[in-house]
Amino acid sequence: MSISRRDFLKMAGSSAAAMTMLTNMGLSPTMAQDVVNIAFGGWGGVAEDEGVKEAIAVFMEENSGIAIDWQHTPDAGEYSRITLTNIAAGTAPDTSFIRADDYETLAVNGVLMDLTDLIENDPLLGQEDYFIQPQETNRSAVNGRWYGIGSTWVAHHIYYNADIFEAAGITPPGFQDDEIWAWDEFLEICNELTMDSAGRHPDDSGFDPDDIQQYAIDWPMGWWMPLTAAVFSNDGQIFDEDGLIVLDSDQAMEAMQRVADLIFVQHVAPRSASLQSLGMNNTQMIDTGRLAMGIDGSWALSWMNPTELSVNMGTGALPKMVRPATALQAHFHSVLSSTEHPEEAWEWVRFLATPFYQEHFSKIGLWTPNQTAMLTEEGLKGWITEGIHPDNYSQWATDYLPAHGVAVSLPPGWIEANNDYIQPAIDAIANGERAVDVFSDAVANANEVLIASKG
Amino acid sequence: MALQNKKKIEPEQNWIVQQYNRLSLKQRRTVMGYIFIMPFILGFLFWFLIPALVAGNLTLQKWNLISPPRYIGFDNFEKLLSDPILGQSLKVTLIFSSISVPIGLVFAFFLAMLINTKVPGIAVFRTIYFLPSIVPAVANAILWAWLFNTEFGLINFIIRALGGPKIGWLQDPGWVMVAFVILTIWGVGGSMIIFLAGLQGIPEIYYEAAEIDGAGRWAKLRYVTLPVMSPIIFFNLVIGFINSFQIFVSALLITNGGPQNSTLFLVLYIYRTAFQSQNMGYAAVLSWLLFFILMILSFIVFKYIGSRVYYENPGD
Amino acid sequence: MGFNEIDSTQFVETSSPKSVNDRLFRAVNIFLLIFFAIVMILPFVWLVSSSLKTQIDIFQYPPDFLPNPIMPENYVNALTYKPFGTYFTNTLIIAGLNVIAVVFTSSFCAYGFARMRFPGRDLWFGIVMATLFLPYAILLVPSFIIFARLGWVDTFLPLVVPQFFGGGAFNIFLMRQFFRTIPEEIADAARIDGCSEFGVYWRIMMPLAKPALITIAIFTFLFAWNDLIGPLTYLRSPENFTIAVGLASFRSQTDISWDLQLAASAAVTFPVIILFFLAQRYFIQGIVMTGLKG
Repeated sequence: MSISRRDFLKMAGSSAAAMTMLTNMGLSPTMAQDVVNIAFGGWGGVAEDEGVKEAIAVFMEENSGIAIDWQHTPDAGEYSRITLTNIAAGTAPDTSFIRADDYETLAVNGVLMDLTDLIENDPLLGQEDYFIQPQETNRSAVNGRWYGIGSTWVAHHIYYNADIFEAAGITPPGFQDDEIWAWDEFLEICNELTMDSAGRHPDDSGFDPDDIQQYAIDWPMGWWMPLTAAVFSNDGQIFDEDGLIVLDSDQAMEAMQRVADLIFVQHVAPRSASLQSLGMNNTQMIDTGRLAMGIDGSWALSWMNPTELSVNMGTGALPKMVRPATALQAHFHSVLSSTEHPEEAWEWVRFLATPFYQEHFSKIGLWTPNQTAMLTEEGLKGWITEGIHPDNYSQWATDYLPAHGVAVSLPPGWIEANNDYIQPAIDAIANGERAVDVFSDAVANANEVLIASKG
Repeated sequence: MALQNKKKIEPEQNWIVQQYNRLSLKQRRTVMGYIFIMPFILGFLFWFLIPALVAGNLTLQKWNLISPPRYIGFDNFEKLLSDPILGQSLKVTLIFSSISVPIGLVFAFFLAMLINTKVPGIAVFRTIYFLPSIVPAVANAILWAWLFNTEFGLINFIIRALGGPKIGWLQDPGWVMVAFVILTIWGVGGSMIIFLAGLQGIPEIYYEAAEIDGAGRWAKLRYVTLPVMSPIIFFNLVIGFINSFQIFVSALLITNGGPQNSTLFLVLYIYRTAFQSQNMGYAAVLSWLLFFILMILSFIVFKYIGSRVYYENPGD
Repeated sequence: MGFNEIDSTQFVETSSPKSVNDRLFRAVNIFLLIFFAIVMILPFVWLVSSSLKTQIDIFQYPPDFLPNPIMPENYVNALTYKPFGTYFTNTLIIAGLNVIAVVFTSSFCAYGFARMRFPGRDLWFGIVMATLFLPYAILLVPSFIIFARLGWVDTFLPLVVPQFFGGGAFNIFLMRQFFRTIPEEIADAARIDGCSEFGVYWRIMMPLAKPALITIAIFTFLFAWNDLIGPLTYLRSPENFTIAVGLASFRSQTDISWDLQLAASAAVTFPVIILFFLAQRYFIQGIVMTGLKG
């Protein structure tokens, strides 16, 4: 369904439904005609910063009574700390990006405004198929209520150097079911694509693992998300129904071990640490022909695309173990309960959940839509950009993600449990230790933290 | 004369000065003394004592910053005794400190002697040696993270060019400590300058006297330079110690405490506990723990090493 | 008074004539000087050379010191992406105010500790030293809450005002050491002439203390220039940001402009390099004069 921006905004701002809703909630909307200031906090790199500013300009043009004050902090972790301190001191912004890691904790502590009714009664957002389901509800609902609107979907997939594939005569991966490799097939291809300086493959005699010129694949182990994609693919889970970690299940450990083995057993992957906090990634390795395939989040398309790279590139789905899968998450946009202008704050957060906002970031390759409106033929035209999105990319959004994307929601206490036990266990297997040796203790300890956090 | 003075003074001051003049010498000294150190006392009160008391109060509470704090008695202290991550943190901090401080001290002293030469352009050399200590934290972190990169880093490139193996500097728990020691020693510019100043303050006479006694280069070093420098060495030792315990920004930016918590230095652990695990109460306990550890260690250092320091002008 | 000529080379050159041994030693000395200078500066040279490269060129392997193509635009882009001009001014203001605060208040307090006798003096000095042991980051949250209640968030006040209250234990310590090296007779002479204690401080001690004051001024300036945690915590609006915060702007989880970040890092370091180069004579002289020996 397509709708012009003008019509949409007309439906929005003066929507009687919204007003009634808010009055029923006991929050009286401001009737004043002076400009209301809404503070909006968030993080991001250069591209995100610019994008938000543009969106603010558009919004303010249509809503002359609301001024958005954008408070940008570059790093998400730092932003989280600053926001927490601000909440403690009573100077929190009205609206904010909320990390998936913090979402549930903030929600159950009453920091975020309950938006469920506002969303359900909204003429646009309240439509049943507005968002891609069931994933959207899976990640947004805390005890059945929504405390924020997911900004987008991002998930991991393969970025490949097309020139290398062509030279080797191998068909690269894609997003259609028949283009996704089974694990054994994947290992064979990786073997073909890895060479030492003498041109030998790992299964050739005399292969020198210390002198590899070209690696087949880089599967980052610097944080949990890319690794859990493998877990989901092997029919494992991160959490069980009680919210406890089950990464010590046989399927989960087997999945993670297989990924680690790419480095130490098959010798097809490099030992570059994904230093997430500094943004180090495998882009340059792909671009200089040292890496055939790199796995990274879909956000990386904003810099790993045909225009930016000097080689021919393409995208494809992760290989499957039992079934195709990838892990989905993204940050939320929320209204904080402490705001003094709930109506205006909702207007802004609402705007952020519309195609017009998502389009901008989707165009540059940073985001993948979580709204069905953008997946129709017409909708796709609005954001698929030649030179940024490879030819098969629309399939990623329309076919692959809705079918194989698994939404992740993180319980309170996850940050501590991850920092103290899970990430160290991942570090250990990234350093050559066996998953079976480290994960059962790690998970047990991590679950103690989660249980303590419920109290 | 007192009468003459009084005529020039304003009425209000008159009263104060009158009161003041009534005090005994000792009392006057006390008042003056406290007036001079009053800025510190006030500052201490507002920016130290009150926050410290708040932090002290926090140790008995459970607070995650976003909900009201709750009193939980001594639970945080109990956790202190059974926290394996704390044990790990203390271990890596102590190891780091005991390795980096002595090596850093020796290196700084050595460099100071190198730049204590009359060579044209010595000012340039001094700037080069001091430079690392003033590179901003974020820049420093990026620079070293990338120098130590396993696949691309300059350091591994040099090592492999010399025939060595590819070291997982930031992935291997053993090597990462070496990496941090290296980057810390690169930044000894501050202590080096202090050593340099000390070297330049040694009177020429001492060396001449030693020469007359037939002392060669090494003897001069041992019997003149080192003893006279000992207070400065001691000063740098204490400061170096205190600073090494407070290493934080580089660990946060480069490894975030990893791999496997092997760079989870104490201040980083406190920061993580406060702002990522959102456990302010426990973080407060850890802060006090750090404070006491430093006090105790300093006491030990002062007592056992301080007594060996040679003071040229024993003060009051 | 025991102050020495600066630039003397007591260790290397002695008054005896140069022998072959001496020349050899000097040669080794110079060799080591150059060798370590290369080692110490290599990372920084790498930083600058990379800052002039394109994103792709930075990650060439084997690494190459010469940028190809050379991109001085990185510096322009980096410094204009965020308003570094404003950041520069802000940082200068904050650092400048810090220096003024520290120079006056720490010497004032140090005078009390060094030259006056009164009960409780040593106790309070012990407290001064004890404050050295508490890391900056620890009192962050309680301090933040206090400042928030005062309404000082997003101003320079939390970064400047506390410095007016003594300026920090390190500075008080250095100045105290310095004041103790000045003979009592000078002060006594002044007192006999009717000078009040304040007069002795202001008219006698301070002029003598210039080198030491310059030293702590430089230390303070450098610290304020590079300080990250303070500004990041207390400053909200982009117009108020300092250089350190601006530098952190390029770093995020979903995107990193390495070329810009490296250029910005190098650019931010240049002013302090120049400052140190010009001021090092006074800097070193000052430390000598604080008489750390005693």
